Amino acid sequence: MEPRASDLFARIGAEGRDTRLVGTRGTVKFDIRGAGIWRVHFDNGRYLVEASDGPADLVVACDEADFVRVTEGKQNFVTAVLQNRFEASGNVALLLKLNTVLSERAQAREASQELHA
Amino acid sequence: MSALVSILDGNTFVVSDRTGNVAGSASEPQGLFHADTRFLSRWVLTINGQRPGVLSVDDLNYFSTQFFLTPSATNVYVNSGISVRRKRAVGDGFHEDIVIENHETQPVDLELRIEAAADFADLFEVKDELAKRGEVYRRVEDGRLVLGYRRERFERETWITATAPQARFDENGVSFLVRIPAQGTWRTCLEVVTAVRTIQRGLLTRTRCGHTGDNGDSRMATTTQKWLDQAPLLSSSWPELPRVYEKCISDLAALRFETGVVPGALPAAGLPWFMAVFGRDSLLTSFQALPFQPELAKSTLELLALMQGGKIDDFRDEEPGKIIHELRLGELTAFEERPHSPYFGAADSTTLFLVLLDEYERWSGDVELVRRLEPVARNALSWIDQYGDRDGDGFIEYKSRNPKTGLENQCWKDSWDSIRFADGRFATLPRAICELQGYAYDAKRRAARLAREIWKDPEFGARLEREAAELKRRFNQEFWLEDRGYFALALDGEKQKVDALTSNIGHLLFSGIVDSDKAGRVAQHLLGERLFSGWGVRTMAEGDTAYNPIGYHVGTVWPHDCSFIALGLRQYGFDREAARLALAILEASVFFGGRPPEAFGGYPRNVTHFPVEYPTACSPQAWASGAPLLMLRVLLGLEPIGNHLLVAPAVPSSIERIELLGIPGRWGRADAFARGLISLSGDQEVRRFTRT
Repeated sequence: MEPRASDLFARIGAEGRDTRLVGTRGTVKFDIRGAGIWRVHFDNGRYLVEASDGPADLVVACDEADFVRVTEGKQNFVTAVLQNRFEASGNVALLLKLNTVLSERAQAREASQELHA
Repeated sequence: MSALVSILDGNTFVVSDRTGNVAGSASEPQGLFHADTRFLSRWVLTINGQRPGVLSVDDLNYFSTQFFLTPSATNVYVNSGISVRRKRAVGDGFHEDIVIENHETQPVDLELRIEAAADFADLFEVKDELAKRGEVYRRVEDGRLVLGYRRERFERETWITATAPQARFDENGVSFLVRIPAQGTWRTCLEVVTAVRTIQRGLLTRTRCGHTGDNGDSRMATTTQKWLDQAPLLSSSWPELPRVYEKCISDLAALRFETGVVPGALPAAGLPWFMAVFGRDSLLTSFQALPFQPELAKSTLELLALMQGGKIDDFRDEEPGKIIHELRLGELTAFEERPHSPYFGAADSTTLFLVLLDEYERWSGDVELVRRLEPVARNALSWIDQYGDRDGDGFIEYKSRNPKTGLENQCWKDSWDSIRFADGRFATLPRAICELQGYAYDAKRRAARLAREIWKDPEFGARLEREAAELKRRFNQEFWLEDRGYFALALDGEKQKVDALTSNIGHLLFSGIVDSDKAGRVAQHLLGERLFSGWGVRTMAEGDTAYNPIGYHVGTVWPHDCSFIALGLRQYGFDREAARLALAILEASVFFGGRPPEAFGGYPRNVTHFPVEYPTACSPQAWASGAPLLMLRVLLGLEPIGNHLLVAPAVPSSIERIELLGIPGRWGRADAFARGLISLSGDQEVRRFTRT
C-alpha cells in the first residue's frame, strides 16, 4: 500500500536533522490537496515539521498521490512542476535544495530495502 | 545579411523574417518561444491579401525591433501611397504596434489581416522534427483569440488582443477593415501573451511587454543601460575593435538569463536552440567575461551549485557531486521523453565549476562565496575520482548511462561524429578526452589553493596538489604521441590513443597540464598550416580523414575554442602566437558585424579572403560573444596578482594602441594601456578592414 502524506511527514519529522541542509534556512509550506497543510522549518541542518498553516518562504501545492510519488523518488520534482502536478511559489532555491535531499534519501532508502530483501 | 530577425529577453524570444512575419514549420525555427515552447508558429500580416515587402529593419536593441514595409506593388515606376511600420518588443510574449500612413491626397480603404497559429512545439520537436502528443485548440472569447495546447495537466495558451475598434477575431487570426483619410494615419497595438496553467492559480502570465516608447520597454532599457555602463570602456587606434567589443557586451546583455532562483543573471548559451541554463557554456562564458562583467560568474556558480547532482540517475546521467549540463522546461522534458530536468551529460562541467570558482575569487576577492560553496566544491572533487574516473585508471572518461536519449559525446565537441582517429575511425566508448584531464588537473590545483587559503584545510590542499602532480605526470606519459609531437585527442575504450590532430590540445595549454618541454611543439601545431586556417584554429586538422571545413566539430573554427587556446598560449609564454590567434578571431568578428557566430568554416584564409558562415550556427551565442573579451584579456595580459591587476601587453604592431578603462576586480577599478609592439607577418590584414 502507498504511504500517506501524514506518514511521510511523521517520518521526516522524526529525523529532525540532516547535515546536507547545513546552511539552509527557511520555511516550506506543503498544501496537500485532500490531506492537509504541513510546514517544515529548516534551520541550518535541523528541521521541524508542524501540521499547521502560516507564513512560508516557499509554498508547494499538489495532490497527495503526487506528493508521495515525488517524496518516494518515483517522480522528479522538476518534471512534476512542469507537468503541473506540483505548484511551487516563493523561494525556488529552497525547492531545488530540498529536491536534492529528498531524492538522495529516496535512493538511499531504496538501496537499503534492496539490501534487506 | 541574415534572413531572420530575432529579439529576445531571457528564455523568451521571437524569430521572424525581415518583414516581421513568422511562418514557422516543423523544421523552421521561426516563432514566439517561451520556456522552450513555441507559443506562436504563424504570424503573417497581409494588406488587401498581399504580404508587404520590406524597406528596412531597424534593430533598436536586442529586445525590440522595427520593420518598415510597403505594399508589394512598389517599383521604380510606381510609388507606394502607403507605408507600414511594425514595431515589436518582447517580454513574456510580445507587443506589436502597427502604424499605417496614407501619403495620398485621397482616403484609402484597406483590409488588414494577421493570420495567427500556434503549434506549441517543444524546441526539441522543432530541432528534431517530432510530432505532438496532446491536443491543440483555439477559440475566440471576450474580444481575444486564444490558442491552446493540453496534454494531461500540462496546458499552455497564447492570448492575442488588439486595441483598434475595427478588430474582428476569428479562429485563424484577426482582420481590420479600415478607411484611412488622405494623408492620415491608422494604428493598432497587438498584444501576444503566453500563459501556463498551474494547480492553484489557474492560467498564469507575467505580462511585461506593454507599450513601447521610442526607446523600447523602459525596464529593460534601464537594466541594459546599467549593464553597459558597468562594463569597462575600450578605445583603440583600430576603430573596429571597440565596435566588436560593444557588440559583444551588448549581446551578452541580451543572453542574460534571470532564473528568479538566485540573484542576478547568468548567460544562456545561444539563440535560437540554446536559450537555457547550461553548465559548460555558462561556466566558460562567465570565465571569459570575468574582467568585464564578473557578476555573471557569481550567479552561474550559485545556480549550478543548487542543482548539483545528489544521486545516481541513469536517465539523467546524474551522479553525486556532478554539475549539470542543461536544464529545459518544455513538454518533452516534462514528460521525460528527454532527460533535461536537469540533464547531467557533461564530463567537464564539474571540473570547470571548480576552475571558475577559483578564477572568480582571484578576480573578485569574494571569499564569502568560496566559503559558502565549500561543501559543493568538495562534492565536485569527490565526483572526479569516484564517478568521473569510471575504471580507476586515473583519467576522466565518459559513456552515457542513458543510451537512448543521452549524449554520446559529453565534452564540448558533443556531436556524435566528433571523436575520431586520424584515419576517420570512430573511437570506442568510454572516451577519455584529453581536455577533460587538463580541466581535472587545473581544478585540483586551484581547489588546493582554496583549501589552503580559504577553507583553512592545508592537509586537503596538499593531497589535491599531490593528486594533480600525479595526474600531470601520467597524462604527459600516456597521451603524448612522440612521433607526431602532439597529444592524443583521447584514449578510447581499449585505451588506444586517438591520434587525430585537433584544437583540443590548445585547451591543454589553458589548463596547464602540458610539460614545458612539450608545449613548444603543441604551439607549433596550433599555429601550423593544418590547424590554423588564418582566421582561427580548426577543430580538426586539414589532412585528417574526417576533416570537413564545414563539419560542426571536425573542421570548423569556433571563436570560443580559439579564445581559450590563445589564453593557454600566453600562459606558456607564446606571446606572438597568442597575438596572432587573437588578431585573427577579432578580424573575423569584424566580418560578422562584431558578432562572432558559434562557428564558421575552416577554409584557408588565402582561398576565401573572408570567414565563411556555417549554415546553422547559433547567433548570438554566449561563448562566441565572450571570445573577443577573452582575446582582449590575452592581448593586454590581464592577470590578478593578489589585490593588484597585472597588465603585461602582447599586442600586434598593426594595432597601435588599446586602452581598457575601469576593469573591475578586488582592486576596485583599474586601467590598462597597451601599445602594439609585436610584429606579425601578414598583420597588415588589419588595415584592410579598417573603414576610417
